[in-house]
Formats: sequence, structure tokens, C-alpha cells
Amino acid sequence: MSEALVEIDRVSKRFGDYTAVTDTSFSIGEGEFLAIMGSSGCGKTTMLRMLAGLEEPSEGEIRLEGRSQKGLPPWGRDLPLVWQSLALFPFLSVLDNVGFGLKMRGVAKAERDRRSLAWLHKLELGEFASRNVMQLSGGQRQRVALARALVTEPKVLLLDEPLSALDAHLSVRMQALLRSLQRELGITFVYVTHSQTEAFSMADRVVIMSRGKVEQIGSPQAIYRHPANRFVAEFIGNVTILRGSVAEVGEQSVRLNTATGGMSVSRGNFAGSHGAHADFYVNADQIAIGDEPRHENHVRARFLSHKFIGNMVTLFLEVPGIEDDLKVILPERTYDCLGMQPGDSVVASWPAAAAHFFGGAA
Amino acid sequence: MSSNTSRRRWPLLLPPLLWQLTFFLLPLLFLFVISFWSVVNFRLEPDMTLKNWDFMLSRSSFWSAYGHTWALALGAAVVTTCCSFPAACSLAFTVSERTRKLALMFLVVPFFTSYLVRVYSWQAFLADNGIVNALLALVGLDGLPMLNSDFGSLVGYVTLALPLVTLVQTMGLAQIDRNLIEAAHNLRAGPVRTLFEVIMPLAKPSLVVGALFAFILAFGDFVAPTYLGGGAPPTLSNLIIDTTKSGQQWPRAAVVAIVMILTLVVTSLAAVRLAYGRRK
Repeated sequence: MSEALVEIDRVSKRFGDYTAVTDTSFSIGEGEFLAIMGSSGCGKTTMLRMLAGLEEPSEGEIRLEGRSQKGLPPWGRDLPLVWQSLALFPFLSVLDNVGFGLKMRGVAKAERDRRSLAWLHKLELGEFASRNVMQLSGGQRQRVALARALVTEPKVLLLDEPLSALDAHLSVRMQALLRSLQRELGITFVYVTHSQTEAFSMADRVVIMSRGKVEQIGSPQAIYRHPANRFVAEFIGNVTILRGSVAEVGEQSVRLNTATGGMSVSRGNFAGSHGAHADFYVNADQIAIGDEPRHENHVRARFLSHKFIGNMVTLFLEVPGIEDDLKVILPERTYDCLGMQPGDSVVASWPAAAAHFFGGAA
Repeated sequence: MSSNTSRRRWPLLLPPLLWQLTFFLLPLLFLFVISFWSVVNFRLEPDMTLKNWDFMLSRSSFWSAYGHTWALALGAAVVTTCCSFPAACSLAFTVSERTRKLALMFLVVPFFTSYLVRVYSWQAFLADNGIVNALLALVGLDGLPMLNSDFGSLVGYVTLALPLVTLVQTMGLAQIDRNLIEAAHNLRAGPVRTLFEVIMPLAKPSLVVGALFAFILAFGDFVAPTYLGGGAPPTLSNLIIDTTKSGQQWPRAAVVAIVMILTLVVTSLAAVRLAYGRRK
């Protein structure tokens, strides 16, 4: 990541008594694909609207290339937005929709038609130029919206859940298109979504927001492997959170007493001392299942249920003394070979390296 | 809607159909028939003659009244549309929904008093020695002849149509998807350009329908041209009154009425086509 193109500096946004975004700071690099992810009401769309100038921050400021955007009206900014509802103009042809931003910049008709058409061809919409936007399919309209935002060659493109209305198949194809476009153009994408799949498959970095605050910023891998806190862990949902009291702090690992016996957890930069209570998490895809313990940490558990996600299977195990189910992710073939039935008693085991303290990843 | 549900729904259409048939189509048919009757000794007598049509349509006075009425109604449509639009814009975009509903309710209040009373009260303002000229005199300006002129008629027409047109425009503007307005801003269209490039095209149906209402109301109105316009030169409605008053010429009045109805039908169809016409 090169230097920061967009800086969000201690930004808050209040609507009356309601605080949508609280004291949030992060920066976005040039040419970066940044996803802002969170459930509805977490402030991610408000964040995007503040970038576009459609909302003015109550406190703090947003800088673009070092220049404060404070007080700049939306029409004075160069941050085109691809809307969730697409917001295409129904009274204009496809070509005129794409050319709208150029027209507002005073580009002559012939020139803007040429540039709009070039974009339509690039996105395989050339033959639809003279159609009305209402005559296009969802996926085609999506690409018109994209062309309309990109035709002015902005440095930053804002996208507000643009794929949420598409079916899964089309969404996957659009994700590939967006990713390759972003790479090819080298411009910064700020992509707001509630979908982990979209965020993790496209973004260089992901910002996870909850209740107006940033919970974690990092690469998809970093967030997946090392959630910063309980919220992120539960939101991503690929770990089981356990709790214990510190028995012994070793060189590489920490020994804890838990409701299901002693456990070893990677030490990382853990700073707690003997007797302290601590939460830790176990990565679901690093747990082995069998009749015998295969790793240092092991529990006897009862197999409850499973669910398929692509070629992986998530198993839910009931462990005496643990409130939440223990989550285990296995390749589908491995699961098949085990031949387990719901109700079966199994041994789940994992190495100390599969368990970490929150925020303690070295 | 499938043909099945429309078949099940057609009994619901019966009451309005019967109403239209009894109180609109039948009288219209009667009007049409009367236009071929004669008047003998101030009394209507059934007949089958074209002389009423010939008498009216061959007179230049009829056609000048027709042109005058058309021009006034068109003027009323344009002036009312222009007067309503700023108000409708602020009601639709700048105030809260609560205020908007309240304001729309107050728009109905003028209909509580008779239109005739409202037109009469304009006389006090527009007369040669009326309130407006008195105010002009205060600042040292010459009085303007406003009563008994086309200007007077227009004031009456706007009085009649303004609340309705504002209502139609406000409802049309309030339905506009805010995302489209924000999208225009996002693509660097400032407030004025957004108004002309996005809001007006989106509001076109309500603008045209509102203007059509004003046109229809003005085209048939006789109160404003009589009491504020002075009845001269006459409009078609003035002509109908004169014709019926002088010698009970109901058949000739029927001819005028039918020409008016045909004009409004054609104008309405053209306006609806303009408002909802297929986009490219």
C-alpha cells in the first residue's frame, strides 16, 4: 500500500440523538480495494455518504489527497458512487446515463458520446447504447451504473452494496469483473457491504464496523485468522471462543484451566499473569476429529449437526462445560470418511498453535 | 394483471360506469341531438337541420371567441404551472412530511368558499380605484387598468386552478426517488442543473397533468371572464350565455358546447401522450 489517498480523521456523525459513526479514523491507500463491512446500522453506509459529501461529519474531517473536504458540497467532489439501488436516470438512454457526469463537466456531446460508448463497449454493453435503462436486465443495469461512475476517470470509486440485488451466480461474476477492473485501472475502490464473501474475495483490506465504530482493520487473511475481539470473532464465525484462568505462562504457550480441563494457547504478546481470566479462540479449520486425541488440547464432544458450505463442512459439537457449540470446519471428503452420525461421541483435538488470545497475535 | 383477475373485478366497475352513462354520456347525447333542433317562437322544436351548425361555424365572431378562449386557457395553464412549481418544490423537498401533509390540507381550504365570492373579492383589488392601484399611487405610480381585461381573466383562472395544480405537482415531486437527486449531485450537477436535468424530466407527468387541469378549468370557466374580464371580447362560455339569453337559442349553444368538448378531448389526449408518452 502506498501513501494515503483518503484520510478519515476522527470522524463522528450524529443524527439528532442517534450516533451513526463514532470517532472513527482510518486511511485508504492509492490503488487500494478497501471493503467496509458490517451488519445493517453499523455506520458503514453513513461513512460512505460522508465520503461522497452527501452527509457532513458532525466532528472530524475527511481529507482527499491531503485536502480537507469540509464544507464541499457533493457536486464539488470527485467521488462517484455506485448506488445500491443503482439510481440510473429512467428518462435517459443508456448512453446518456453514462455520459451524464461528463455533460455536467461541460464535455461536448460528440466527445462524451465517444467516451461513454468506449466504456459501454468495455463492459460489453455497446449494443444497448440507445436503449432505455428500464429495458435492461439487472446485471446489465449494474454495469451501466459502473460505467456511469467510471467514465469520468475518478481517483476513488465508492460502491454501496452494489451486488446485493443480484443472484449468487451473477454476483460472483460481477465480483470478478470489479476486481479485475480495479486492478487494471489502478484506482481506489471503497466498497461497502454486509457480505463477508464479497468483502473477503475482493478487498485488499477489510474494515469491520459495528455500532458506529471500527472493530478491526486488516487483510482478509489477518481478520480470518486473528479476529481482534469477540465481536469480530462472532461476526466472521469461524472460531469458537473459550475462557479460562491462567495457570502457567510459558515461552511459546500459555497454560489455562478451563471448564473442560487444561489447555495450551499460543502466547503471542499475552501479558496476563497467573490466575488472570482470559478469553481465547480456537480456529475451526485447525481442529482434528477422531476417536483418539491427536493434539495437545483435546475434549470429548457429542456431534450435533453439520452444514455444507461449498466443499467444506462445518460441524457443531456439544462439549460439556462450554456454553457455545464447538465449531469444526473439515473438507467434505474428510467428513465423509469419518462416517459420523448425530449423537456420536468423538474426540476433538488441536495444537496450541490453533488457539490464540484476542489481539494477541504476534 | 391477469385476465382472470380483471374478469373478477369488472362488477366493481359497474357503479362508475352507470354513473358516467346516466349523468355524462346521455346528457351529452341529448346535447348533440338538440344541436339539430330548431327554435320556433322561442320554443324548442325537434328537427333535423344543420342550420345551427352552419350559423355558428360560419361566423368569424365565433372563431375569434374560440381563439381568444384557447389563448386565455393556454395562458392560464402556463401562468398557473409557473406559479405553482416553486411552491410545490419547497413542499416536496424542503419541509418535513408532516408539514407537507398539513400544507396540502390547507390547499383545500380555498374550496370552502365559493369561487364566485373569491372572484368578486379580486374586483376590490383590481378595480381602477381598487387596492392595487391605491398602493401604486402611494409610491407615485400611475394606476394600471387591470379589471375587465385579459389580465383580470387570468387572475381569476389562476385563483381557480392554483390549489389543484400545486397539489398535483407536489404529489408528483414528492414521489421522485431521492437517490436520483443525490446521484445527480454525486455526478457534479449542482442544484440548478439538477432541477432542469433530473427533477423536471422526472416531474414531467405531474407538470403536464397539472397544466392540463388548469387549461380545462379555464377553458370552460365563465365566472372569471365575465366578472374580471368584462365579457369582452367574449370567451366561448360568454358566447353560450349570450346565445341562450338572446332568443332561447339552445341549439346554437349546444353547437358551441360540443365544439368545446371536442377541443378538450383532443387537448387532453395530446397532453396525456406528452406526459406519459413512450420514452425512447
